[in-house]
Amino acid sequence: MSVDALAAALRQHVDYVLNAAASSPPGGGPAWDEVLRFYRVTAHDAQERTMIVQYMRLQRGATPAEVRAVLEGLRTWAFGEIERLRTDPSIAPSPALGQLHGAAQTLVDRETANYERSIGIQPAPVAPPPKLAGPSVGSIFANAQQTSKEVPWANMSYKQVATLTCVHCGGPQETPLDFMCKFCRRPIAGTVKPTQ
Amino acid sequence: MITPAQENTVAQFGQRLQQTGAELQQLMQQALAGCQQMIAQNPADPTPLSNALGAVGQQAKTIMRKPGDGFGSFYDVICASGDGEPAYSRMKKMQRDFDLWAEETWERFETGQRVEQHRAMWPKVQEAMTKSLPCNRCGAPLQRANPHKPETVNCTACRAANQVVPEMVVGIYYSGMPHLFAQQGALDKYWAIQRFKSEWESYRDAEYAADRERPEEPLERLKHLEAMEKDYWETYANPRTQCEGGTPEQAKELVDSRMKQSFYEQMNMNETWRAAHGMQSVQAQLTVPAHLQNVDEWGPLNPHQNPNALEDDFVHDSLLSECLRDPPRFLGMLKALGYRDAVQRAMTHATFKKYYLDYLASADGIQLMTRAAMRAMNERSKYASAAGAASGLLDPIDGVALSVYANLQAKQGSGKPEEFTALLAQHQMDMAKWDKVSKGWIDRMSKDTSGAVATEYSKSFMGAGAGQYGAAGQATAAAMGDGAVAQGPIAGAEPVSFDKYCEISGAMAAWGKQGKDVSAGLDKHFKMTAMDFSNIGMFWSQKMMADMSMFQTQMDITAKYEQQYLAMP
Repeated sequence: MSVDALAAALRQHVDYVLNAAASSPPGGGPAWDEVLRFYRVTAHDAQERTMIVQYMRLQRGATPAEVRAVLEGLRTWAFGEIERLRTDPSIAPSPALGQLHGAAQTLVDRETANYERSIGIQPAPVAPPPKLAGPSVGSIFANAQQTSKEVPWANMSYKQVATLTCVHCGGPQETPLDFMCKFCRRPIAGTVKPTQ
Repeated sequence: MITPAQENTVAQFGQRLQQTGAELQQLMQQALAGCQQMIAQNPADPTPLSNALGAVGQQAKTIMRKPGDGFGSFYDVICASGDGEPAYSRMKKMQRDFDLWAEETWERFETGQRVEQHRAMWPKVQEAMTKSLPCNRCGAPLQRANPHKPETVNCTACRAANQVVPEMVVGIYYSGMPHLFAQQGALDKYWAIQRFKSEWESYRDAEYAADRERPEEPLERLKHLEAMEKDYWETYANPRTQCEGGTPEQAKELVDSRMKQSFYEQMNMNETWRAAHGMQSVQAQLTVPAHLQNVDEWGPLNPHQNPNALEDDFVHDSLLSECLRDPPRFLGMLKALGYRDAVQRAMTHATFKKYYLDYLASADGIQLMTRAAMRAMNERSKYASAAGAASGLLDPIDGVALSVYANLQAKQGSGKPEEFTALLAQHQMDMAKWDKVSKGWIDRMSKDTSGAVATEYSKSFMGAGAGQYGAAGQATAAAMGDGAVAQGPIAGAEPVSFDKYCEISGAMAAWGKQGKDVSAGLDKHFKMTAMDFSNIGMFWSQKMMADMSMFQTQMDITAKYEQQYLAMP
């Protein structure tokens, strides 16, 4: 799949989900349940839906939490595809791939907010920025230093110089790229395999 | 007009950006000391620094994302107290300026550290290149001409052909240095381009905020951008190609391919650019002319004769959309799919939408579209391979076919070096020719925007059946056939369970965040190599494509394992 095709497919799914959610009755309905089943997202129970409808005063539309869950699934799918594209050396350096990754990272919050706006939900207060919860920089450098010595090839040595010796007569190769033994006139490596 | 309440919110957002900027600078300050120590400890091995920078980079990206993630909340508050557009426009510019600053700051830091590492390697590289090497057969000293790359040297004493490869530090240095030094030298021009683009976006937003239409970028600016892009890629390509021992023609090829990828393919979607270059507008290509809007047209997809016509229509839509950036390819695809011209195609798609719109909104319709998306991936792959073959893109390099190259590449890591030398000899290659062929294919892959080379390469690579999960790779490649998605069930047993695959993925994500070496971790915890995981990953990703609900399960299980491995010392 190309970056553009992936971006288009993602957009198509998101639009479908948001349209289906927004056109549902308050808290969802059979059509929305069908969407949830399709994306294998477990629906909230009726009591929770009712509570959300009352608390958020939903006039229409599925609950934002269920929409968010579907979008999270789509984001995971998109990340999987992006990772696959990154293994392709012809696509990996593409700026479009980086942009798509960035867009996918913010997809859930952005599209959930868009959805909320589309069904007329009042904005939530601004949340404080989350604290950075990752390994400390010190431990990162210690890990990098230690584990680089644990790679399987850490203590391997290799010979810088090799010569080919005829498997039939033991004669050395003397002419570069000539793989017929000049002494016994047979393939120096025992066999000749096609290159095309 | 921005209200006082909105001014206050915009100011709060500005503070958030400043805090985030300070956080990023603090992170880089801490990382700088670690990088310097790491370079001093490992002057000949850039891997530890690379792993550490990868992990710190993830933290930097997390910090950079914070303002963007919170943007919607600020915007909601702004909209709640009046017309949101003017304040939104200002916040958007602040956000854009911050993003540019943060990304540039991080990239300059990261590139700078990697360049420093390579500079520290240079004394070791020089020492290794001047070291005398004896003939493998008689021990006489060899006269090397190109100590920085593989070469075959005849011994002046016994005449044996010695295949000489550079010491590891030399190989690593020359595989990284040309790109890094060239990149560092071109950074100013790269970021000047990003600022030029950003300025225009801010101007468009400001116009919109002032109740005017967002203007299209004028041709003069696009031409200026073209010149800037070309200057940037020349500044990058010339020193890089020179360091790699390439020719001015190869530098030009690199510039042309990068210009196509990063500039012309985007411009081919820009209406101003298209008009100036005699191309029909994108919109016109996709729109049914007014006088034909009530005319039904099924094109090559008559649903009365073809039960899959609706699905085929969506396959065609996907295939053609992907080609829009490349007008000759778009025209070629139209013909290949059986359309007279773009108008007939637009009419066909409109007719399908007219009669099937309601059905497409149903669960069956969505399933049909999903099937069509999968099929389109395979069809695209087939068309790309056919076009690649026709254009010479897949022609052998120095007499070596892509399938042979990929097959040998897969086997390179699994045996001893002398076994690989013998294997190459069976294919009439020495290490010097292998190096040349290998670079040639990598270069062709990086310049191929259709993906044909990479697709054919990965199939042959998996088809080699190398490694302990080679059978799974072979079975997956066989199921994929000539497409990009498995076209039937994958034969054979699961290489590892789905849970184990998720565990490995979670562990790798955790190691990446912790700065731990992924190859070391795979070996230590799972007794496998990166290639083994690639075979496993390809098997399970094809399974997930067949049942998209598995993506959610994969996310949940992988996240659980990631936390588990993050908690490990």
